[in-house]
Amino acid sequence: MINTKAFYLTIVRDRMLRVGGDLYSRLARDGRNWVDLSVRFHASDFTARRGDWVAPWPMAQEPTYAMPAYDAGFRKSFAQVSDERALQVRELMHNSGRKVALYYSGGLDSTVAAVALLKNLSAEELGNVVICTSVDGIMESPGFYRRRLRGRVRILDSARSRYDDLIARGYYTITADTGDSIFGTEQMTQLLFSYGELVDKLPHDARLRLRQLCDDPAIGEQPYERFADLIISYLGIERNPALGRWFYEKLVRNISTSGVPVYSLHDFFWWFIFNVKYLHCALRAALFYYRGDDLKAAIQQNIINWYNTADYQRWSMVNNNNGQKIRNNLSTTYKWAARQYIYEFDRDDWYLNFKLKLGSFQLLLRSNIRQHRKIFGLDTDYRLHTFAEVNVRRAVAERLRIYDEQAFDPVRVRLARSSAARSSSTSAAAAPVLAA
Amino acid sequence: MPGLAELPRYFPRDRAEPCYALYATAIDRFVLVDRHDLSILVRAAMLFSSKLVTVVCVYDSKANPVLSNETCLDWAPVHRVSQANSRVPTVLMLEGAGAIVEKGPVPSVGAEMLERAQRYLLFSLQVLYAQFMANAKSGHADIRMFRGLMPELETLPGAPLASQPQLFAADVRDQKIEDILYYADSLEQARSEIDTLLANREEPKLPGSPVSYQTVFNEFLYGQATVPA
Repeated sequence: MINTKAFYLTIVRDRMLRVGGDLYSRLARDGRNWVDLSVRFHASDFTARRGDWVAPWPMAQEPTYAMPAYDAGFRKSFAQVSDERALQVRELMHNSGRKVALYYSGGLDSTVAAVALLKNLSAEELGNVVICTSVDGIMESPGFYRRRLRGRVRILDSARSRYDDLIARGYYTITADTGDSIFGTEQMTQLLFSYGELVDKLPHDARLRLRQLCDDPAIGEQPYERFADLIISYLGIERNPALGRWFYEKLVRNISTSGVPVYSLHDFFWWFIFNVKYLHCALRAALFYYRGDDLKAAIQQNIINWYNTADYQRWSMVNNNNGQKIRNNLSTTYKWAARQYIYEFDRDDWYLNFKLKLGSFQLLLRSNIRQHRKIFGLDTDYRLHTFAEVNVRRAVAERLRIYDEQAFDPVRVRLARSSAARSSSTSAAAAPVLAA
Repeated sequence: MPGLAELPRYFPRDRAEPCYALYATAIDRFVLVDRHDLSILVRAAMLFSSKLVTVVCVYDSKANPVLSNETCLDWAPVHRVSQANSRVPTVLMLEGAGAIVEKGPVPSVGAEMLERAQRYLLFSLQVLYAQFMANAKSGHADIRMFRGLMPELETLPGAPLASQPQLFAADVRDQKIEDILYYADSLEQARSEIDTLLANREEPKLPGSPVSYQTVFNEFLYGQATVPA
């Protein structure tokens, strides 16, 4: 199967390979790295949208989520892009006669979407908008819920409103899952959080050098190469000390072939999420929370990924290191442009100053965790493959047993790249509104 | 694994100095200290979580520097606690001497906002103490825990409807006070709404009770029987 198919996304987990004994110890070095990468980043799997990227199996670019060309002259503000996004959704509703259901977690990303719709749609149009949320979602921002949502739009219980249910009833569903990719600050704030602990583990010279940088408020603007030892330590895991260097060098190769400016520590981790983790964020709602039988239509037409527009991505590419995404590397200032956009509408000082990132995806997964754990990948026919299939388990294990990045068939790399280039130029045509 | 033997550490016998502190992970600082009642402090933290999520820390007040609400905003646990994983406050034991450390002024949030947060939190805590004591002293009870445990009472068809269901008439007041604290935007708004709520209610003086609910509530909140002008 995996010898003949290309994939848009794959997910490998250590646990999945423990069928019939200690397979891990029999994997090739790079096979182990691939498994451990998924362990290190909690069942995330990485697929570059731009630049060189070698994977154990052929990968292709899903056209809906292709990256637009870098545009250094892009000048629209986050607020303008957000307002325009709401107008696109309004137009889509108008042209199709369908309603929309926004999955709202109370976090910054979905609150931006809610604000944009509340700002830009009339009361009558808001009658065709429903909010799918949970008690946890309301608790994340109870003031906003009470002031802005309750009584103004219909509220549905997200635990009882799966994507396929709503799509079958004629709704477009909206997810804000790629918000983290647009802002791209999550991994760097995690690194800075454990900076002292990581530095203490480094050799003497590196320790001295990096300790000096610790208190620099502009640490994120320093060239990322200066932090190589630290990043390598951060990316590794205890059972596989070589993982950090392997992944760091893989990312550096990807950066050097991407054609997008990536210089600073901030840029490095932004690019990681914006390029390499984007597909994981973008597709997870469809893969884990949609149980219908037409995944292609769900991904390309029926599920609107709020931040998956060319303009949001262009905004993301030209707003690094300028305070729009994070200020002074603090958790209370991350996604600053989003905070400001919400504040301009709701004037809530508490939310502006104290809002923290709280995980919401696990809440979404609550009712679907078993299916989530079984998924291996989505192929280019939009067919989902799971580890429940014996041939999938065997093929994945076999491939990882022999996987050597240096020796791997370079044709597949070119395939992935040329596919990405084609997708980049055709994505707008493939999904004119959703990826406009 | 903590067990029964750990319990006294969470409820220290000597409470001459604060032994509880609310820690805001967002700013890596304590925002309030207290020494009276852990469970009421947890409730205050829960009501404040609509504005700022905190962790309720317990520390050894004899083995660590004495904190007050004037100084605690410069202090934090020695090891930074990770971002909140929950919207609901949790309780955390800070072990031994040197568990807390002075980190200086908060860099990310203005002093005015921090003062606003601390004042609101302090007011919420005082309201909850006043609520508890007023219930206790005036013979009222917060009977919300019985909700769901008691059967529904029926009414005969055509019988006159009471304005409120009799079983849980009292819970309206306690619920509304907490509703106000959870949703109000400022101390002034919360105080005004609570004063109005209680002023407009006719709380019966229960048999054997020497004082009314409002009198005790105001005494514990404002230090006088009536709402100050």
